[in-house]
Amino acid sequence: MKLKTFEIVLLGMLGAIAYAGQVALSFIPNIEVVSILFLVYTKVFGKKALFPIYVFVLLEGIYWGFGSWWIMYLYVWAVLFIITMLLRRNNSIIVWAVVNAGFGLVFGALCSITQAAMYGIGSGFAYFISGIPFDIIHCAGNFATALALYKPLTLLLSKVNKELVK
Amino acid sequence: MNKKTKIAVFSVIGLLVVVGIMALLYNVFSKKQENPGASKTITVTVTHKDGTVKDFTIPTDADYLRGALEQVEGLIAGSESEYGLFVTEVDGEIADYNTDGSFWGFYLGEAFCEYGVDTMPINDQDHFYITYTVY
Repeated sequence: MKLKTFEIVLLGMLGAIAYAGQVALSFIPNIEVVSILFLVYTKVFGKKALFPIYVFVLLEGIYWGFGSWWIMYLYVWAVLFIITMLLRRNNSIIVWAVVNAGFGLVFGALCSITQAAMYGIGSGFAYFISGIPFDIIHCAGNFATALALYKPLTLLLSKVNKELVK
Repeated sequence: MNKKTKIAVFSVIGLLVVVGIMALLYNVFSKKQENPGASKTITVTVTHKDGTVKDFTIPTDADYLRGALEQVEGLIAGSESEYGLFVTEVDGEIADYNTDGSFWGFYLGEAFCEYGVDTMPINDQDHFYITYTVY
């Protein structure tokens, strides 16, 4: 994957936008726009979306500190990327809202893998169970953000991709 | 109903089923109060930075750890967050993660507490350990 200078700047900025969105909404537990942004980035830019995703991961580590949670970030967003790549040809806003919501729902389960690896399976399971109410909030929030943002973001970024990148 | 609509409807139903399963798991496996509102006695062992250990026996009617800990004057302090109290000071000693990566680790027996002090349920004869920890 060879990127042009303009693409590197654009994709870096998209990572920074995701980071700004995360920080701006960090005061509300588990309501976020990062998932829908990465979903749309992946749908529009394909494998190039890995660039803004990992720019975001790096910025998160720099801002919040490279704690054990950061290890989770190395793979959880990749899961969303892979699912989106597999369903990329789908254009149903409801299906994408379900994908985004489903990702929010299993976010805690994905994170508990690291917890289990570091502190034991019992700890990982307890982490997963205690986080379920937040996962359900995450699910509902992601469903709503996808319904609200999927279409305008896809139109906007598709235009950018068509007119400025390709 | 056309194919696209069917896929959308079934994907929403599938999502709701998974939400239901997770709610059920939470209901079955989450730590609960055995006797809400009942009198109980818990023990709290605080291990300071220099290794000194101090035990507190707390009789309480509180259902959650924060209520019991706040019955002992000066035992805990911290800042309020969206998840409840973030404990930064225990028994007069401050752990500042931003300075040196230190924090107060909370354990029930040997298990790390997965809940904050506001939502950690307590039961009679629970033994909590609060340990100064450096990441």
